[in-house]
Amino acid sequence: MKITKFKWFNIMMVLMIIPLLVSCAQQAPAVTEPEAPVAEAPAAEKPAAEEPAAPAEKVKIVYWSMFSEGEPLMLLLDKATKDFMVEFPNIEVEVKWAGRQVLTQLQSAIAAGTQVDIVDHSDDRVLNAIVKSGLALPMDKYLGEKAYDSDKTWGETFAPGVLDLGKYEGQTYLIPRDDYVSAFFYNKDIVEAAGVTPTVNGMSWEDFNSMLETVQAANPDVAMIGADGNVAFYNNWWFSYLAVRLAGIDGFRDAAYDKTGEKWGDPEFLQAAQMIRELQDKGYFQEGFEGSVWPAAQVKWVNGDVAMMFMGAWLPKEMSEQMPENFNIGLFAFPDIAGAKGNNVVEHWANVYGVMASTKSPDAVATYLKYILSKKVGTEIATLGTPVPLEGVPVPPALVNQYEILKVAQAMPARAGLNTEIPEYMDNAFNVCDDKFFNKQLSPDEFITCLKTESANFWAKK
Amino acid sequence: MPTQISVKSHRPMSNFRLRNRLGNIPYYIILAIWAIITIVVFVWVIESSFKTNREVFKDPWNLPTAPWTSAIANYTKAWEVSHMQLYFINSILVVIASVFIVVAVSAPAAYVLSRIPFIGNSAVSYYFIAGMGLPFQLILVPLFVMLSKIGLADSLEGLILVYVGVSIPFTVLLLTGFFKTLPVELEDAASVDGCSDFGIFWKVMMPLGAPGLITAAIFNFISIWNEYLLAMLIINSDKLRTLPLGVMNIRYSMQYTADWTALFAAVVIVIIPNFLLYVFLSDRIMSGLTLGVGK
Amino acid sequence: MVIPFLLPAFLLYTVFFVYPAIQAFWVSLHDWSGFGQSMVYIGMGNYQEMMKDTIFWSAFRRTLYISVVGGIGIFGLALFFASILQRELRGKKFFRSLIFFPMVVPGIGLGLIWQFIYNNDWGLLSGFLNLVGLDKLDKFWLAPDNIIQSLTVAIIWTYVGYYMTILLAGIDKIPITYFEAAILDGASEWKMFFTVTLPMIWDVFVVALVLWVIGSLKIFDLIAATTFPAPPTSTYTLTIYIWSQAVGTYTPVYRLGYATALGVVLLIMVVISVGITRLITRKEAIEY
Repeated sequence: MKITKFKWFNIMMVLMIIPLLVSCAQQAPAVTEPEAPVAEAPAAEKPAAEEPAAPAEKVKIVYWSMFSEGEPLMLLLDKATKDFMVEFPNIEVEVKWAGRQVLTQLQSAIAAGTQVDIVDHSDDRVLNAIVKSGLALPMDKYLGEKAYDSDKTWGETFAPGVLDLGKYEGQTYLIPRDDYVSAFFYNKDIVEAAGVTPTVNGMSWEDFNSMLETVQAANPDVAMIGADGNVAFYNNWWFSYLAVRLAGIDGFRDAAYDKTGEKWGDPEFLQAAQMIRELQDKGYFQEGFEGSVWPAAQVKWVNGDVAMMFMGAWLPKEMSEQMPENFNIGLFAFPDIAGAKGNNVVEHWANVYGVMASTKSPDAVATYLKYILSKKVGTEIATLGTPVPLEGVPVPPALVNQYEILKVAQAMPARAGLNTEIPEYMDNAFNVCDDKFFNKQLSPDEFITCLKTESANFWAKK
Repeated sequence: MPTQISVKSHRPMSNFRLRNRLGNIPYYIILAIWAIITIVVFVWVIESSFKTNREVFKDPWNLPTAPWTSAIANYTKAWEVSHMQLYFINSILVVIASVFIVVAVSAPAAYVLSRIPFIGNSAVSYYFIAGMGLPFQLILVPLFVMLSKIGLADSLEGLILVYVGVSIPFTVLLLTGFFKTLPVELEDAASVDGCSDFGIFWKVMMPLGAPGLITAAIFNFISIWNEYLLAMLIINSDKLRTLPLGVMNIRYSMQYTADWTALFAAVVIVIIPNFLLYVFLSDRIMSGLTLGVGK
Repeated sequence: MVIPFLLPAFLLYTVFFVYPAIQAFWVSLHDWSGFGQSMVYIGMGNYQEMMKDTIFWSAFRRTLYISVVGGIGIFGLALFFASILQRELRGKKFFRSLIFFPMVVPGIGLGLIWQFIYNNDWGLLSGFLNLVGLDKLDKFWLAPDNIIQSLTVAIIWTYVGYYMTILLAGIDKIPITYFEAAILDGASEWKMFFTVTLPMIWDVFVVALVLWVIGSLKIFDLIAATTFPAPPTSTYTLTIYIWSQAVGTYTPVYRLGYATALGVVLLIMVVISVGITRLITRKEAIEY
């Protein structure tokens, strides 16, 4: 197909250039020539392109990957895929290393009817892109089958609860490859040197504040909390976590879904905003966090200018290149508030594989995914510092406590699920107010008013 | 307007002497400031590609401690691991083919539009020029669907044809303006000599029009070499990426590799060909710039 | 000869540019995530929503801001540089080339560069201000209050050379006799610039202005790369807003129908802006 394509293309080029080459003596022989190749060749090409090429017994599956060539995880997956094809000679896996914009390209591919069997990205993205639009294949059947290198079923080899991330309307669609919580990541040499050892789970807000006070006193030149104010997705962690703590998951969600916006007027939300502003007023955030552009704050953190960051668990990996040797990372869950409704809740999400319902070889796809998410390959992935949610796969040292948190906490999807369910609301109403508030352009009261108005506006539009 | 045979001939300012040479000093200062800013920015980009990741984030003024080791590491990474060498070849292929075709198809069209008063001439001219206002964002998905149907999605050929399509408005505009500045007398002479229309175009207009065509080629070269959005849509195989896609991809993958200095190296790699082209052709670029837009 | 000469360009342009654009109008009448066949016809629904969409209006204002303020900056500087460089200066070519140079660097690369220039900790600008003791002037360049101005400066720096060169080439074509006459009349250089140069290049100026208006409304790469990885809503221009609605940034918004409708509005905006520009610059061009 490649060859024929190039051929007609060349022919077309030559034909188009003919009129330019005609000299004085010749009378326009190519008068209508240029039109033909452009208009007709594509049509003529079409049947040829659709001719089946592969022999019948061998199946080909196509995986569009969120990775680009050269990335460590891509190199690993590439090798694993090649090993897989040796072991399963009847399955050919064609991988397109499409990079992070894979879903954008998938939009077009679907519209054009291009074969794609597997895609991967973060769970919220894949869910919104293919599961909700009915394009994904439920995987429950395959999760009940035997795993690649265990006697258990495939589903049983995953860490408890992690498969829930891929559930939608009662069926499991998404297969997690690496999973993350959001938590405080701190520089042990700063925090513990000040004589404080944060507890991983269930720290109280008071303890959190007194810890900041103690550590700050011991390190006057260090900012306690780092934040890159240009990333709305990071900024809104603060308010949404505190709002969930105070109002509970349901309270927070109800407020967002309230068509009048009035629910944001509940006292818990103002209190949450005031608690954030209090931290900011005490100067715990690094100076200029409002204008800090990712990854500036993170760099400060690894350089020892910032004591801790609230971040997804990808942080240690993301900063590994800049990290000094022997950089000691600790982590603890978002603090609890005495007597509040939503304590002990943690955000949990994953990068996942989704399978297109249009696949012609679901069994081959499942065989491939079982192989990639086997203990064998999972262990290799984990050695790169990536946390793999499979039982018996070693956890990267910096992230051991992530699983301590998950053991005791109730997991929720990003921003109590709102990020996935009503992304437009989050983008066009919630984040608009939250960014201004977090970056100190609005007072807590103004922020609540903003939430009310923007929510009402948003829902009125729908 | 007075007849100008060659575009190069207009240098009327060269005799224009200022009465007061000393008066130039303030202007030199202003120009120098601007020039220094620009030079510092680019030198700093190059310097950063000679640093390690940790050095980059320390302070803009520190010098690389082990420039060659870092440079080798960064450029190797950008060139080999991130496949910039592949992207480079793809970019060259795409740009040369697109520029060639767009000039080859736009020149005759512009010639007709500038010279032949057929019915609907101005309508067709407007039709072409209207494309300059079309934002690429508008056409992304329909374009991809169409390319897929004709088997050209995710192919350099498809990308080339799209670049040709979107570059035609500017090129036609530029060349129409240019052909209007050429004298009519020679064509008349040629047609008296029995040349066909194609003959006149080929034997007379092409040599005369060469400066305009080269200008059009250079402008298209620059804009296509730098184009990101359409390439992002059409190309999704790693081996077919062009340079801007490669740079953006390194940025995206940084969340997994945190390798900024390799990114600087990649930026330098993207800039170099343009820089060389520019050094050799800047006169051409400069003098040609108004051919399409001037009188 | 009209048809064979026109046809190749006409077809390539129509097939690969105009036809998809026409289809886009159709898409803009639908509610569509962009995935699958789930297109729902909603008529003018997307456009009605847009009227009430505060983000759209602020993106609209920001796009105009860049076009107008950036345009004033660019044409102010371009005219100024052009008036300097029309003189007999040593190193004129060097300066001219250098001012033009950013134009030939991919926007994706320039955006990265500017993100580093504006960084307060290791960036060039803050570093420079601290070095010369002007720390007072140091700002958080990419904070919500400053970011659009910062982006506008980056845009001016990038594009000024292009428009300066267009103006310069226009000046180059002015017959020398006009200047000689002015000198004989005893006109000062500045007076000469406004009474001879500017009127003589007026039509070139207008064309350059139209090119800028079209180009400025469509700037995407530079802004996207400067605000990478997630442009905050405070930086949304129309092109960035379109992008975020079509494919999402951090939030998985997939609204291709709406994004396409925004694209249609951008097109209308380009057409109207060009019309207005032509209207307010209308003036009899001086023949020479």
